[in-house]
Amino acid sequence: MHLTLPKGNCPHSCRSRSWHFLLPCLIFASLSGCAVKPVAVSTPKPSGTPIPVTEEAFRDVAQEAGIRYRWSVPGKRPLNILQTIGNGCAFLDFNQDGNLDILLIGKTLALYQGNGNGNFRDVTIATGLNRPQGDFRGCAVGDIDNDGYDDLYLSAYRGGILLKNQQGKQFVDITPSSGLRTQPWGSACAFGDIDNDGLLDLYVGNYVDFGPDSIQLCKINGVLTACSPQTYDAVKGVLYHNRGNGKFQDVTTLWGADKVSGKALGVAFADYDHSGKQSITIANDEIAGDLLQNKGTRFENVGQLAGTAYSRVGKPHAGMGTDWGDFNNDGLLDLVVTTFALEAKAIYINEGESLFTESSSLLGVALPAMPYVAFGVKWLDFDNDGWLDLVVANGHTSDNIAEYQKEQMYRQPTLLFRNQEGRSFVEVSKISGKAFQKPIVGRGLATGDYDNDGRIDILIVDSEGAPLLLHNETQPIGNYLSLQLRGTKSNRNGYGAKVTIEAGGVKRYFHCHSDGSFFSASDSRIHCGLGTARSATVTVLWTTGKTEQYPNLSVNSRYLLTEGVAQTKKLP
Amino acid sequence: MKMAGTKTPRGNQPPSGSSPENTNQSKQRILLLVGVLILLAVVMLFQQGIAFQRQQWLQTASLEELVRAAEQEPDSIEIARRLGTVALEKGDAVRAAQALERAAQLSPDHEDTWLKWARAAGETRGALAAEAVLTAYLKDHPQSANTHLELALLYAAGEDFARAEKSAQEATRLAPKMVEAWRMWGQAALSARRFPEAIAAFQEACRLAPQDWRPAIGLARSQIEGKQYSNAVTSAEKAVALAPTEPEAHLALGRARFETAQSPTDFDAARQHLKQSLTGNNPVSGPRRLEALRYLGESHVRQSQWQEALPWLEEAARLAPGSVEVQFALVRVYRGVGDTIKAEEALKRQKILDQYQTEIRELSARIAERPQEGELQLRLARLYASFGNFVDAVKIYRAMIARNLSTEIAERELRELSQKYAPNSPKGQLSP
Repeated sequence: MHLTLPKGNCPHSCRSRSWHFLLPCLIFASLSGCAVKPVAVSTPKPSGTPIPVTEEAFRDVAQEAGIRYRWSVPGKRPLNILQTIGNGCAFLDFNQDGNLDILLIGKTLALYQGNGNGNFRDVTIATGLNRPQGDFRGCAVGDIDNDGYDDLYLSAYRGGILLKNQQGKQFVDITPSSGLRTQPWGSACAFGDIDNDGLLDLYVGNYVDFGPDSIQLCKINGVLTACSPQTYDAVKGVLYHNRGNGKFQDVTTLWGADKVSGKALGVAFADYDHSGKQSITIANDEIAGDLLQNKGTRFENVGQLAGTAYSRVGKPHAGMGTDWGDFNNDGLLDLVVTTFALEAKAIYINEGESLFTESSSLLGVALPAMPYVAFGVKWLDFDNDGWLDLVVANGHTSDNIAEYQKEQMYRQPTLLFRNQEGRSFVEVSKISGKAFQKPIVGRGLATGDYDNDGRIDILIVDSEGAPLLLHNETQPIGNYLSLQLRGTKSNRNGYGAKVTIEAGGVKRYFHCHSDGSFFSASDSRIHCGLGTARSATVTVLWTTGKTEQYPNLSVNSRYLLTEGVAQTKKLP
Repeated sequence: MKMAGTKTPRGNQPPSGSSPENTNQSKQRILLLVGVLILLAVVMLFQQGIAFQRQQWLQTASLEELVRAAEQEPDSIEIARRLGTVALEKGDAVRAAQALERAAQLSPDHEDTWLKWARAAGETRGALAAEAVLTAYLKDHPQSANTHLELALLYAAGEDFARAEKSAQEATRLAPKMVEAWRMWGQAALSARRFPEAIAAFQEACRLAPQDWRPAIGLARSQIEGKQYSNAVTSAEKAVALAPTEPEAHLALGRARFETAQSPTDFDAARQHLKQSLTGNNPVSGPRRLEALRYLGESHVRQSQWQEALPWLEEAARLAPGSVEVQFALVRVYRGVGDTIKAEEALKRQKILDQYQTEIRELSARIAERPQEGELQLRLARLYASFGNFVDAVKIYRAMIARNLSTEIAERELRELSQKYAPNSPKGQLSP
């Protein structure tokens, strides 16, 4: 059979230089319609070797990995807004053994210790995580006292607790002494250092004012179902400043973080404007999104001015999950915000000078994602080609949606988009494994390389089912570099540090973080796909303002980069 | 053998060759019969002539003549019906309603009379009266597709799109080839933001009337709102092909092309159609004009052509100063051209409008769930009034009074609003 690809109408990756990429590329091209046109949204830089995806690129291994957990929603149907909002999850290394562990959030917590070989052991009781009581929803992971072990904040409906990690053995509830207050409906939460004092501060979003006396269900098209957030008053989030010794102070008003919309579902810190300070983006449900630009001693909400508050056409949308990432490798962090069905899942391209342009239509993400109610979202380079791809967890908010909207389903498939060198995205879910066809009530989502095989894996919450642990088995795969940062003067996690990785004549930009997505926390190690590059030079700009360079690092390796230490440490 | 005194039965008489006397009698009878027939025909013709003349008179009679005729013949269906029709045409809805009500009483099965009566009743006594007429007719004639359609139109006019959709759907069930019913269903579903239903209804209307551009536009509109942009391009192209001078068709095509645009050429093509909708003898107006202006501006914004975007968006802002979307675009454009002062001003407006619209959305959502909670409605009315939207504020107060909901407060605030903003009108009344 002789196949000819239409020139100029095919993804650039298909015009590969290497013959062995040709066949899978042709398969990919034919499946994807090969109709990606170049768009003038950014100037593409020379790439590493593009990697086509293969069938079964991801496989759900939760059961075989030893994860026995299930979310369920007891009680009467249809579900109300509290019952349907869902939960988060996390990849973290709670015992600092170099292997990612899994935290699952719900009324019952679960912690699974990973052995780095793909197997997990339930250590919930051993670590004391069976003790906390509450309607837990989301989590933030960070070392609040720089003792080398990641602590946890768990947001909750009418609750919220701070758990101190005691040397990777036990988690102890220190909320009463911490100065943190019970939140009305704690939702998304994140750690970030707002004043670069080396201590992680905490932002906790709140959702809506809802209780037993509130309207529980609303009629839509004559059918009773969960109400939209518009039915309820917004509740605003709180910003806590870390004063050290496990003590926090509410600085919401002092720092101007009270000038927000409320109804937060996604939150993420980042120095998006190269100011050296951590700003905060907040995705809000059916109300203007917030971008709290850090001015040094207080925040200014520039969401509307910057353009991230709304959809492309200036309308509020149902902001759910969010994540920062430089998907076009131009050195500026771009922003993704997931939204409701029939709303574009917003990709805000950072144009510099605090100006963002929502470009999901031009980038080819808007239409494939349009039918779904999207929650968890992360940028990830799943094929290590050097371009950040995108994964989105979906699931409707009305469990009986099919009763009044025939074309909609409660359970929805997960979406995977492959980055076409920063110019556009192609949806590759259908050729990336059965897990992406499985309809779930998708909510929280986290990413991380749990078996240290150099491929980023995905953890997803099915709000009415078992978690999905999607093992990345993409073949062929590009080279990669995994970097664990350790701050000494800046916060120990290195959150907020900027990492530039130069390899094969291409620069790629990252920021160290575990926040973002929906109610979830991800592996904070910098995972950089390098295509065919053989070595890389890494530059780290710590939040203290200090820059350090690490030349000639070997690819397909994991390194520990310690602030103030010129030597890198290669991790096993 | 012939028996004496015995009569020969008539039927047995030979047709000819009988006696001359009998023959004459027979001829006379035939002539008589023919005469009678002719007379009958003449009478009939005369009567028909009178009826024709009456019909002609009815068609040409003035309203006053018809009124007199109705007084003389109060039980005449034709006169009552015609009087109602003429009065309705002349805008005398009260007289029309009276006459058509009488006509409907006299002819309870005459569909057209009832439909007209409903319209007249609606004009004189409001939508509820019209609805009562139509539902009364449907009680005895549940299979009347036209009446269901009329009911759908009535509901749609009152922005009760759910019921409009239901009635239109029923009309299509009863008359599956009635294009208007399918269009109505599509329109109601589109207004209710039930896009799959709207698309399906318009698709059927398009199938039934492939040469009609209106369902094609409806389909394109539904597909745009339902984010099926590629399909919308096809539908709008069809509409433009059917009605090349119809500005609505060009607007739909311009919008659809804008939504699918990937290259400068695509944006140019979108703009060409958007501009076409604004030109000619019958350009789009009102919200459609705003849409055209806004998306002309947006198309340049998408290409970072700030200077080119500016005039379109500024005109859109003049047309709709309350549009948060236009202000949002203007903030970016002013920033793009380096006019920070205007950008700040637009941002301020945008923030205020956003807050206003957010509150309206939230209050409306709550009112939908708790329609008996007067405080929520009062808050919404006050919000409208505080932003100068007296029409909607007054509507809410009046509806509250009509429904006996926080009546005292509603009446007082309505009075205060009237005195404050229309002090010179009789009794300070506002007339939205």
